[in-house]
Amino acid sequence: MHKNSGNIVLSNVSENYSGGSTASSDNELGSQIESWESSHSSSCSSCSDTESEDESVEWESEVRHDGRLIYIESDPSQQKQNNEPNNIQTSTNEDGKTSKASASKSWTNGGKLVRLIRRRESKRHHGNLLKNGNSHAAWNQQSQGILAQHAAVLLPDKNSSHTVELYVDPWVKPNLGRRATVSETLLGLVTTFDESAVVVTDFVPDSLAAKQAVFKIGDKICSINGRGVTAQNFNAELEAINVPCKLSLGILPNAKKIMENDSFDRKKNKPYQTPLAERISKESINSAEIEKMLLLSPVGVLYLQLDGLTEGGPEDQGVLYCYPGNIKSNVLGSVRGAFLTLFQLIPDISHSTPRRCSICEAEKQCHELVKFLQFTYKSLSRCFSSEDHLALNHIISVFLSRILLSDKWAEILDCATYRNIMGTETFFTQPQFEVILQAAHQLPLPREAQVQIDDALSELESNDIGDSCEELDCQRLYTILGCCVYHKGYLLGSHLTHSDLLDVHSFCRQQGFLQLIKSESVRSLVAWREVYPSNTSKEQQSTRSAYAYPEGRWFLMIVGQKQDMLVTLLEAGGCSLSVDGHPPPDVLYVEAAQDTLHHLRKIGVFNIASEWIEAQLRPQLTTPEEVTSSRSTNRKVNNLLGLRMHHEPGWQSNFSSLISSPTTRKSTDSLSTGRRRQSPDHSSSGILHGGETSEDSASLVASLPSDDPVFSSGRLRVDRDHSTHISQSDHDESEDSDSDWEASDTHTGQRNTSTTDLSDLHNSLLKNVEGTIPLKLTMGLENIVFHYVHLDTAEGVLLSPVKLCKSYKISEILSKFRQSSMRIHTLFQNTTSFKKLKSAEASQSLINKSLVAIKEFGVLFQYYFPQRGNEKSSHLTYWVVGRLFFMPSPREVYICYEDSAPQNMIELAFRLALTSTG
Amino acid sequence: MTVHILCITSAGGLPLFTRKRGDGEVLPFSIVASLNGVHMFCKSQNVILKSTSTPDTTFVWEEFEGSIILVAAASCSNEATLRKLLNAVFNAMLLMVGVDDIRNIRNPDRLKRELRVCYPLIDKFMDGMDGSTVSNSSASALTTRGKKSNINSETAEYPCCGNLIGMSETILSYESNDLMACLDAYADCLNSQFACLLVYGRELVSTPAWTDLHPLERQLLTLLTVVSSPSTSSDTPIFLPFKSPSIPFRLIWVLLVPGVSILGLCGPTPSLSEAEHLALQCWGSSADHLRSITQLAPRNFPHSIQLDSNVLGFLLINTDVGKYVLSYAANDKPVWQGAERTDNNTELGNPVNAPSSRHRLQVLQTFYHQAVEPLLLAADTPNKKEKGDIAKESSPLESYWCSEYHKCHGIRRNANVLCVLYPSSVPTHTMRMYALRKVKDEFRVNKCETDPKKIEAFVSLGKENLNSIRRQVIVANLYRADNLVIEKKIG
Repeated sequence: MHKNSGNIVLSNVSENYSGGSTASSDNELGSQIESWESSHSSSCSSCSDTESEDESVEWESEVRHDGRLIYIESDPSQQKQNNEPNNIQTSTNEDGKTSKASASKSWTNGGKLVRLIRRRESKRHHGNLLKNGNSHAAWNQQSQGILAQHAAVLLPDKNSSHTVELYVDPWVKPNLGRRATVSETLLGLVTTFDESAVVVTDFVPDSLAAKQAVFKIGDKICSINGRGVTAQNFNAELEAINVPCKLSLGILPNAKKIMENDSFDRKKNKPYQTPLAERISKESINSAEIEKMLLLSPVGVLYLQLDGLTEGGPEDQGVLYCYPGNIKSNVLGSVRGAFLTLFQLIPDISHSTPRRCSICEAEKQCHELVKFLQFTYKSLSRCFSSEDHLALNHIISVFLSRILLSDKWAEILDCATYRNIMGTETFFTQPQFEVILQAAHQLPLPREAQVQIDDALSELESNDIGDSCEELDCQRLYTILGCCVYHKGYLLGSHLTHSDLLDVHSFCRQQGFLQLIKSESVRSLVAWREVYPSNTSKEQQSTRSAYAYPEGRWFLMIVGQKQDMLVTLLEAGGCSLSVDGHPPPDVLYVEAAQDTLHHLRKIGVFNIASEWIEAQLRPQLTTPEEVTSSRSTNRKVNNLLGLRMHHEPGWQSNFSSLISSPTTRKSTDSLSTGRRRQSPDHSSSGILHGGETSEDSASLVASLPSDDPVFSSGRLRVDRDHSTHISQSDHDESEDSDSDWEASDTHTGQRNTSTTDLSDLHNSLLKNVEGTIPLKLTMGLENIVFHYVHLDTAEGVLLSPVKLCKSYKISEILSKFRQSSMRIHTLFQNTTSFKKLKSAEASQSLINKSLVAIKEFGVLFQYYFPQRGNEKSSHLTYWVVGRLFFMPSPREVYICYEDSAPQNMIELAFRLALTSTG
Repeated sequence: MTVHILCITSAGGLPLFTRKRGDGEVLPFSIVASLNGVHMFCKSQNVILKSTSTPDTTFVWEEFEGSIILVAAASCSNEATLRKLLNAVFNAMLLMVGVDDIRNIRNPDRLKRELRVCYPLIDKFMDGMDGSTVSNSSASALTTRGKKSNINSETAEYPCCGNLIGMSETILSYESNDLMACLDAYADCLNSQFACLLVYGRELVSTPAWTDLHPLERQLLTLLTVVSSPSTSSDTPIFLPFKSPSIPFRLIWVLLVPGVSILGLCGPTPSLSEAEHLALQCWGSSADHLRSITQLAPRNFPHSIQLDSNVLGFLLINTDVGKYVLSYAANDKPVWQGAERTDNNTELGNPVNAPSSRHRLQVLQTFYHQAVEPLLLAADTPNKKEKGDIAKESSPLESYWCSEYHKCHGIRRNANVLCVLYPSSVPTHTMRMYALRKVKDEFRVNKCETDPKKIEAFVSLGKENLNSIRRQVIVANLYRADNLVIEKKIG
């Protein structure tokens, strides 16, 4: 984040002004950094960076009285993409108003520190050269192109434009800063270009346009004074106006906007939210309607008190919590006596406490709910006895509706649609194996990217924020216990301990944050609340651990931008300041986290993650269609390699020819390594190189030198050897390899003092992605893996394909896979729980002795392709195999593959685990 | 492993009986009452309480005929199995008492007394539950009894048969056809269509009408002979729970030679002594024949069929007719060769470290309950409901598991399911698959016991296959990879 004191003053004044040209900076550095961003859209208004400057102000109004905060602002581009009927009626946020006072208080406290941190920030980004900007511009253009194509499909066919009169005076220029566009100064409209259309994304506060309330966000300006405008001539047309006059603007309204009279007012005050975001952040939204919907279905939560029940008391005595509905309308409520009896009864019989009771509907996920609630409310009893039932109702309703409706839970909000959906036969909840497992879905990135992430996280954790406080003679506010990064809902890197990660992950999942950033891009997401990590409560009971957790309080801070999310666990107390009351999120920490995210994006980690998700090369998968087609036709080289068609064909043929001819490969390999050796000062050449390649707007993929894939694949192989034989941190060893420049660069390079070129890093990271040879998991010529799940229970991390093919056949197979994997998983539980028992207990335990040593389980399925016309019916047989490992740490592997060459599960698991090393 | 079964009248809440197997206390009356009370309370609230589970115990409630509530509580069983058990228990009650008495309970005390006869049947079912590690004391009791019976050759020597609920156990023999003629003759004499020859409680041959009975009925009838007190003949009035739940039949049981008995269902006419006489007439000539068949008993299939030494046991099920063959001593030497051996020596024929025969039986049972039933057979039920195309899309074919001590493999072809137990040293999955297919082919016809001549052909084919399997094992062992580093145990 590149801010200066000038910014703060401005943003303090215009509290509700989101986006826009606040960068009235006389600071050279700041504007230089941002210049690249304006290069692709000529208006700075839609850049995420400039927006973030105001976030601290924006979210402060959302902080609740107890310090909690969930602030989500969706990307306006989502609005266009979101073609769902938008029939949500927003109810007023009751909590939002209460916190003005506290918010402003913390703001004044922070002001001095903010300046300090700003200085440091600008220092960090010093030296970002134009090349970096160029490559980013190329990236952005690329992505914008894709976005525009997407939007074009969804363009409203409604062409009812209307004209708006607006008085403009080019002589009176509001002081919006140097970088303000002509549209902002003149019209008071923040605009962006969507394909060729000019779209209103925001208003300059206090401008005429904002006051008149004739524009709506999302409107398209199609003409000025009768002349049609496009992205190309929009600025020119406006600049041509040099006398005060009345402009008539042709407006094409956004068809999907909420057509409400007061929408403008609300839009001005509240950031735009997609339905999903709204569902997550607003606790009181539609609660009555949802409750009605849930009452229709056989789910519910009941929390009962066991002590102090008396005969003939009031009807609802002992019921601490009940949802949905009140005690009388709820089925569970009426049969609570049964549960009470059972609870007291069963221990007598089996010496074990009841875990769940099923009445017509069994809930598998209630464990995670309990874990989540414990995390957020310290203990269940505390949670359910607290007064704030509104928030709790919200949580439970989200949870229950997700169980019932899986992915669609955020969209279905009233009884009618619910009934419709439940009425249709086709709708049923798929078994969601991966979701039920208590582990975070990790996306293993190439090693260099992992190193970058670790580096960035460590820097955040090093708590420089606190260091700057020391100058001011005050104790730091929080200690950062750890943090983790998500991209599109996948874990990229984590510095949290195992149990903390599980806590944090289930929190994000239950709150719907994961789904939010997976399915849509947010402009800004800030969440904050006090939490109670499970290991802290456990440690209080048993003192066997050497490290005693301090008497402190813990806070969870979630910061998100676009589709990325950084989750930080903070500790107050211990070595940091202990807090009283309900502190709102601290501006410094939020900004530091946002800055980390920004840094990661800048060096391209998130781009790589997206690429990685798209490419899905390591390990690569196949689909039933591919399997059959490769069998029927003669196998082509391309098919054999399993390369996806979205790669540049030039590169592909290049690559395949290299692979197919070993002699060429060898020669280029040696050639390339020779070349590397010749230029030890690689970073300089890298800059040149990067600048050249990114100059042309085509994808970097295509312009890569042909020897690069081979080079980096060779290097990868070296890396892999190292990782298997020696520990990864052994740099002396890897110094010998001809590719050490990269590794040593990233390890020893002081990013803060920053001689390292970010663009160079970015490029080298990119090369890494593009040059990766696909990794095949299975033995034999063809790739036959359909799906896999690798569960590391010690780390709480899950590896699984991230991009799923959307074919009917594979989804059929996958649902079978999930179903049987779930069964295998429960079977393995026998073994794992038995291993945990001590020998004395083991003899007494009730576990079936035949089940205690099972380590591998497989099922063979036969899939009949649906017949088409006169084709002979064909079928495909595939295995679903699960394997349990204990050494070195307990983990489970589930693989779904076609039945051909026999596979060794140990090897499969080994290779799968290798992919996570990058 | 503990199984409890409670039977309560739903109208009055009177307990009819409680049964318990395995270690653990008999449930006191108060608990029985509360378990019933919970169910009753829920019913009054228009909620049907079906099951509840704790980490290791599952409780299942079920009401039958609107008059009887059965509650099952068992550790390490899933709900589906318990429901099956309850169903079987209820049918056992029907068998002895008839549906009329159960629908309208006039005198609970009388019903209670009448139901006493089906306790052994119910106990038998509970023994057959998954994971029933028959407690050590009872196991040793069984072995001593078994030894005694070796000398006396009086009672059923292998009382612990598979006990898969809802299916009847059979035994395979080449001589089926010859015996079939005798059986038909006997059935004619009894003036009945239902007759069946049992070898240690396993069906050997039966009349077509007998085969048409519901599998559960067949299982109940055969079990009845196993659990009945040792005698040479008996005459029991029974109801057929599915075929004629209200009109009683007479079940005539006659012991022909030790271990071999004949069952017949008939009306009032031939008295027991007459039936005994008729049995002697029909079967007297083939007494030696029958005696030789008893030698099959632990193996349950002809000794002329040799299986690979790695096959420790197998379970062959035909779901259409609801029959199964279980052999947990597939490679034990025939009894006439090793009769003088002690129990330990019988294991010599098997590979080292192989599980004991009792253990083998348990493993196969567990495999059936945990893997075969839910996975391989689960596809059955929806298949029948839906139309062909949709149901056919993905059907399970095989399933296997590897444990530290053994490997199991189940394979399904149409209505036939074969589960084989291997020692853990069997090298690769390919080998197992290959072996399995061959074993399977071999037994396809055999199982239906229709055409012994074809069996001969199959046997020779099987032997051929066996040789090829052996060769493959050798080849596979030649190229067998060492364990990976990560697989080796430390220390």
